[in-house]
Amino acid sequence: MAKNALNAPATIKQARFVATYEAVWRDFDALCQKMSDNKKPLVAKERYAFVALYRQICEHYALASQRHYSPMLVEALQRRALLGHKLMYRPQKNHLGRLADFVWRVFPSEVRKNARLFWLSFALFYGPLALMAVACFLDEGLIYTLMPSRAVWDFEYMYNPENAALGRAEDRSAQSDLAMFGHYIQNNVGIDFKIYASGVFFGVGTAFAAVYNGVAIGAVAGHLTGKGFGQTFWPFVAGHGSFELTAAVIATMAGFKLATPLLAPAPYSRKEAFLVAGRQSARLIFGAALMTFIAAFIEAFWSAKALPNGLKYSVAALLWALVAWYLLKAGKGKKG
Amino acid sequence: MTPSQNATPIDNALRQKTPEGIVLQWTPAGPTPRFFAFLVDFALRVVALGVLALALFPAFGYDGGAGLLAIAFFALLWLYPVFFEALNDGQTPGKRIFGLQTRRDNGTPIDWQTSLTRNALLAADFLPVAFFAGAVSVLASGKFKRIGDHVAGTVVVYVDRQKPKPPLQTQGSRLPPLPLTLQEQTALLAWAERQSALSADRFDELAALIAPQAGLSRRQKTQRALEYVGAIVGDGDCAFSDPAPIKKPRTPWQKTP
Repeated sequence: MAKNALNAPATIKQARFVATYEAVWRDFDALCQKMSDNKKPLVAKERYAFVALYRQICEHYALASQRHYSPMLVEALQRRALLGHKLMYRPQKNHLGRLADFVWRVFPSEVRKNARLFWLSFALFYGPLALMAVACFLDEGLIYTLMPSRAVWDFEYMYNPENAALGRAEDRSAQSDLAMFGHYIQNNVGIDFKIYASGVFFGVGTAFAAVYNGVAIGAVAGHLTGKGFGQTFWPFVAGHGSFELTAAVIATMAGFKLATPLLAPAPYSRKEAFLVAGRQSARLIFGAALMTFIAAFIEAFWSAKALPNGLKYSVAALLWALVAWYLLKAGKGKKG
Repeated sequence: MTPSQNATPIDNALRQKTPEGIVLQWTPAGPTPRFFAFLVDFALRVVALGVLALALFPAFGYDGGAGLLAIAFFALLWLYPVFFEALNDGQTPGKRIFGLQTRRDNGTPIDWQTSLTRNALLAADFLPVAFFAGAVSVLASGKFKRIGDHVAGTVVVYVDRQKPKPPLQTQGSRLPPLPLTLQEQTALLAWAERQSALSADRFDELAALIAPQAGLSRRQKTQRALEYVGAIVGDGDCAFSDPAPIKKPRTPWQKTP
């Protein structure tokens, strides 16, 4: 009998406790070692065994500390319980599978679930865009109320039919497609994240960004079309615009979703509303970022190619249809 | 006066009840270690960007190198913390140095979605300048949460490090006259562990509180108290053992586990 005796009855209880359950603790230790090794995933039998053993360990820990057994024993059991908790609740490892599931099911259904928010963001973005495009088409000087003349000159240079490097500003005209790809990623996805993050401040920043971006894009579109550069501008932007503009709308959605805990948390408490909104908006912004990646790819490697306009318009129509089909139909009817 | 058993302890530990009915405990980390961890991460990112620039420009030329560098810049800015938090148990290298860890509110380890939300909102914490909003949020919250933590439901806590304790020297064992509770046993062990750190007078003074029997000299009281400790510790033939340390497979960026 162990001599870690405090008073005789407790000694007997503790010694018997240890003797009875020591095999359980050894099994648990072996299983934890196996799980931490990550060499092979556990079979179903081992997984069930782990869950049962972890519950027993927690029971023993609670018993030992309540019966005031030796601190070394209690501490050993506590370390086992912490380790079991960590292994039990760690996130799953199937990264690629979950990414595929996200792309094909989770993201489109999240957009569909928030259809009203989508149309609100859509209107907030495309409404000012359309108005400003028409206005700048009719009035050539209107764009100067929005942008400095140097910026306007840059845009005119980019889409001038006599310009060799289409879509590139003067200081970037010699850069390769790869360089532009990197620039587009860094610029556009960063803008998406900033639109998203500013939604936390009551959605004011998001709304402003949506309206401002819409107005700016509409002004450039209308102005260049009015100046006669429409034949270079529209084939260029139509292709990647499908992904990029839709991603901007979805990023705006995500930003407004962050504002809902502050503005309209019901039926959740404010704290829970933050958690719910956080998870939903994370899906939206991650999907928007992926779409912007694709748009950057298209913009860098396809849009600037000198190809007949008919071909470019057909491909653009195809891409718009693809985006529309994806958001409307992908993942419908599948349960998670 | 002994404190009542139901008095709430005055510490900022987070106590989380698990579904299995036990209570696990963590200590949230304040702004200072988090700030220093951020500085270390920032320095690491700058160095990584510099190394990449040196490697990419000769390989891909100025143009291609600039493009890839822009992608690398984006990845290091936004994805570096997400990658480390999701794959490295909630610890970026900066956090690891300072012993911090990111966990979810309910004590479970962090996953991709939560980490992405948390770090995408770094832009919100950065406003209006130099993380002012984030600093205000951290100082105003009881659990030191910045805006990203509030939205994602995470908290940055200290990692429980097991300091290796020197084995206690005990001379004999004797039953204490009363059964001791767990807290009292732990207090007794803590006293015995500090034998080398305390002066002999102070050690004996505390021993007199443990073994206040009349008729014993100062030396005998210390001896008696050490015998009580011996009774708790046992003679080394303990029938139970600590869990064997988990040997984690070595990853390139980790030191020996």
